[in-house]
Amino acid sequence: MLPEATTDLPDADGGVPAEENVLALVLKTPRAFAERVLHDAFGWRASLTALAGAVAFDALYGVATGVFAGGHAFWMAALKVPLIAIASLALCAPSLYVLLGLSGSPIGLRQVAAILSGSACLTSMLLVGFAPVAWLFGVSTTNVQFMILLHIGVCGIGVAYGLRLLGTVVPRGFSGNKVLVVWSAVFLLVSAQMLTYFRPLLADSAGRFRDDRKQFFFEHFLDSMKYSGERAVAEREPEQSDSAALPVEGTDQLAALE
Amino acid sequence: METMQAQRRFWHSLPESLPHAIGLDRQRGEAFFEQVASRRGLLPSIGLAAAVVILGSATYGFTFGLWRSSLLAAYVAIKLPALLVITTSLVMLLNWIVAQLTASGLGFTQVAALTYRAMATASLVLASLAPVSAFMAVACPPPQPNDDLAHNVLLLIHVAFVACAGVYGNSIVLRGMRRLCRPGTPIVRLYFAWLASNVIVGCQLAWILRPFLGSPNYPVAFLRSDALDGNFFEFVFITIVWKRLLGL
Repeated sequence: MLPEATTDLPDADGGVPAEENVLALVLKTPRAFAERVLHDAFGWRASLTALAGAVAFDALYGVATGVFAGGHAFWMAALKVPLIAIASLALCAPSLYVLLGLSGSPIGLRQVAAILSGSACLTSMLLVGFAPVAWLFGVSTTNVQFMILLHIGVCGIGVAYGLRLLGTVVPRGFSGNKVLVVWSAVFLLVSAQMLTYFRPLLADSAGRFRDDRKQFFFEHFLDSMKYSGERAVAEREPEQSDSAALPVEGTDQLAALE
Repeated sequence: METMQAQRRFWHSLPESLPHAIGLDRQRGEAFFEQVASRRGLLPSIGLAAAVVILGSATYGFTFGLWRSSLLAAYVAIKLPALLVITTSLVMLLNWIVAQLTASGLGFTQVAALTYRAMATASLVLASLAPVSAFMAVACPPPQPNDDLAHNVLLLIHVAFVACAGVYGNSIVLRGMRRLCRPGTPIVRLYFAWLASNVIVGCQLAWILRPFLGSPNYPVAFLRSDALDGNFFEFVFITIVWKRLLGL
């Protein structure tokens, strides 16, 4: 159940009264956000704020993702995650605009921008909420397959909430608008292919931003899941150093317990 | 002067809703059905719908052929609008005769207006999917001889897009029939008769106008040298079902 709307409708210029409230509006009161969008009261500036928030949060999640592989992947993932999200939305925006227009939902260009930026913002806020978890597993596990499934699960939760917000804003929602279901399927297809296009995210590609080999997303996923014989760059053996030779504090006590 | 004002109105309404601006949304659809019922001013409506069909399907067609080569993209940008316009025009007479047989009371221009509107809606949906289609062409594995996976997956994606757009477009015909046909008309039978004529003619015309996606095993061409040999249904039922699937 979504929380009830608690904020007032906006001022005359069609923007949200306080720009810093845009993120709180999307996260805490999705119904108020939906009302604003339906009244065409979520202006371009507010949409840009939501989009900027989405980019920043996605970048933070990217950093947490890049921790697993380390090296160049650290900053590359911080660039790639927002790029994947924004490019997927940009490619699917025209079809959402046209399909909603054709199906009789009174949604204009500004409202479509508001819906998409709001959904992207909510998705990214959920991702950033999971970033510490992704970081913890990134530094403590060496299993690529597990990390792939973890990130798919986290992104799945984020995208599901983003799409739920979309269904809340659009009149008659998913149940009364079958075109939204089709659009969501197209969006997921594009996102999956975009992710594959900008791969690798969980491996250091030795300074190259993306792998030039083109693959379908399902091919890449199946390859990644069965690719267990060779370890990812992040899983290389720890370098031998002086400190590595020293006994770890407490090891003896643990050995004594066993 | 009036044209300029109309153009200005069009561009002003664009940010609100493109489908509304060109009269293809549901709200204007009701007004359109009333216009079709009154049989007044249908030729400009048909002209506008034909323009949307040509522009929309040309945009999508370009991205359809882009995977194989930019030359094929240019070819398909011509062939896809031709396919839709010729199919719609060829089945018009048959659709009108069937409409008379079922005593629907629909006139020829009414049948034309309904059919072209459905095609225009489908073309607009296809045009809106053009960015996705272009991305798929760029991001998917490139054409390689003797490697049919990329070709087949992309073909499946395009068939799904075109089918969804077609189903959505034709739902307008069904809505229009419910509003316009005389009481007692077997609407569902009439609708499926129209749909069947569209599918049969459209598939064969698509067969003649192939290639669209462009198999990597054949050279790029506007039309195949064997364009008029065989037919779509012979290919599907004999080559695919009979020989490949059943091994007979």
